[in-house]
Amino acid sequence: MTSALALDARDLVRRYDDRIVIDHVSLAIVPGESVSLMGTSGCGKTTLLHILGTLDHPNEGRLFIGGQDPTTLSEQEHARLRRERLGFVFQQSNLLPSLSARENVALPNWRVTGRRAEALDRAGALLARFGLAARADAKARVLSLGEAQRVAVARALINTPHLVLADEPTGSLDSTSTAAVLDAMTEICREGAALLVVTHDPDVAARCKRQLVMHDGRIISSNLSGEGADRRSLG
Amino acid sequence: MARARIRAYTGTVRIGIALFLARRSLGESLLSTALMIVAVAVGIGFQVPSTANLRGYRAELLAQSLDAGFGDVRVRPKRGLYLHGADALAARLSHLSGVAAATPVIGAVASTMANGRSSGVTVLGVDPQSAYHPYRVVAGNPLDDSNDTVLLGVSVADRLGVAVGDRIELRVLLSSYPRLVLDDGGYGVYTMTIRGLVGFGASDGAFVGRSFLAGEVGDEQLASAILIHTPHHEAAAALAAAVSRVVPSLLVRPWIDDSRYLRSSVRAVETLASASWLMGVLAVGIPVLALLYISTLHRRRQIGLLTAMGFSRLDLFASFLAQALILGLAGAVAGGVVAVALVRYLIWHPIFDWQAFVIRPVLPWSDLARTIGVVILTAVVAGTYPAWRAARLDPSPILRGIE
Repeated sequence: MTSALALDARDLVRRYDDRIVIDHVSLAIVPGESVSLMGTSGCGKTTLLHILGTLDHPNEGRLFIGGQDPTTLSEQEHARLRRERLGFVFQQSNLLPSLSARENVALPNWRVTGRRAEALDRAGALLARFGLAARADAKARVLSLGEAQRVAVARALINTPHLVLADEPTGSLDSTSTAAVLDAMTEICREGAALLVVTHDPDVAARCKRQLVMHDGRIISSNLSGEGADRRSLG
Repeated sequence: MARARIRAYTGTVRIGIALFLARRSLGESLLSTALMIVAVAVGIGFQVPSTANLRGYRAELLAQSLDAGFGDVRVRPKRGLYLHGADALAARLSHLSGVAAATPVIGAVASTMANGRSSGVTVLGVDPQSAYHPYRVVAGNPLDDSNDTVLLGVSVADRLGVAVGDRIELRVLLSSYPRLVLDDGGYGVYTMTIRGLVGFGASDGAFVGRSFLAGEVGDEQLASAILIHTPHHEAAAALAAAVSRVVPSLLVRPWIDDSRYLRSSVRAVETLASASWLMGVLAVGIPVLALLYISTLHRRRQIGLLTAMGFSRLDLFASFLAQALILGLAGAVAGGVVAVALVRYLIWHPIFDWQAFVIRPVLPWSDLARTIGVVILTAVVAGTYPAWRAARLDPSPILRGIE
């Protein structure tokens, strides 16, 4: 059953010193599903996201990503898991400033395949899908916040991941840019990837199929949106 | 099989991406990059000419003291003042392997007089036709075969107030027994024309034809010493041992034992050269380490992002190490050009030029290549710690913005 899930987290616990930040959290996400995670600042959302993304590790519990248990992997295999099965979108400073938008998007794919030209072509095509063809060769540092976030989404998708983890992807954007980024994120689930998005924005959460609320390290509420209730839904 | 095992342990690293990221990272902060390249270039640009000058000083010191001095191996009688049959003995020794020349010289105590002034000197009788002489002419002409010309040390000439072409009186103690001096005035008085002036180690001496001086002492075949020259100064001790086996009854000493001052000077120069070399390495290593480390701290967010993208520690390490390699290469090339230009300039404009003692930098290409290689290696080694730190960074706190 585990391998049918994009993500399967069981009874995760994360402590920093004596403080419990993630308190027995369990979560399963199927491919193509979008899940939002809301909660007050400091409740453990980002920590959970990082554990699910193998950037951090739980003190207790089990985690499977596409059926694979990261705790059994070497550092190299961890890195491979991240680049082949996971995609990340952060709130800001998502891109390497010295690289162009196209190079930022291409980088993870170049790392996987070793073929730079193909990676750049693929990146160009993705950017065009997100309406950024004209900005493909602009340096990341000159992109607007909205453009940068859409580039980050494109980068998260370039290796066709099983799961995309987004941490406040619209947190610092105006409404127009937010709409553009959400449209871009719609593509994530259309591609068949699962999406877990941490957000404070109820509108963003409402576009997800499932909404989770976290408090003091625990998931205290889970709500399933009506199927197809919102045609703009993320997945 | 072994390669597969290594790969399984270390994983793969894409060198092309490491170099690409390194190049772009360095381009991100042109000032820092320029500073690091300048640091490496300055390290080479100053260290190489400095060491080359010291090497040149060492070479000139040996040339003046040995080639234009008292040879690499000195042969003297164990007792008494003179060697008899010196020419035949010198001819024998000159056939030994490694010997460039074996030259007999005869020495005597003398005083010089001119313009109402006098100055005590050691007068040496040398063969004007010999390939090597224990002096270097700085003014006038070399010694000729006549019996009434002398080469005078510049310090003596200065004390007497004389110049090339002037005449001086030379009083030479010809007897080895003071009693005879009193009894029969055992010294010779000669009026001689100054044919040339000699400098550096010979600046307090006087030089005349050996056949003349030896004849005045009593036997034209007499010599105080035979000076043996070899192009390989470092091999003097071995050559001395070989000579000693040929003439066991004589006192044979290599320069390294016979001239403690020269030995100490050469060792001091070599120590300074090593210190200069070490300073150059440190001058390269420390700024590269410091600036790359600062660069690592400034790029923590990017390191976190790369980790999230699936770049392994090895990838990050390789990327940062590639930065050090690029810096080392760029700095080495720039520094090499500066060093060669500076050395060329110093060859034409020596930092020291006195009495024909000229310090001209010596820079073998092999040394330059070795220095550049060491500097690049130093830059890479200096980059290892920042690269290791970058690879070991915990991405989670960085990406959360709490570190």
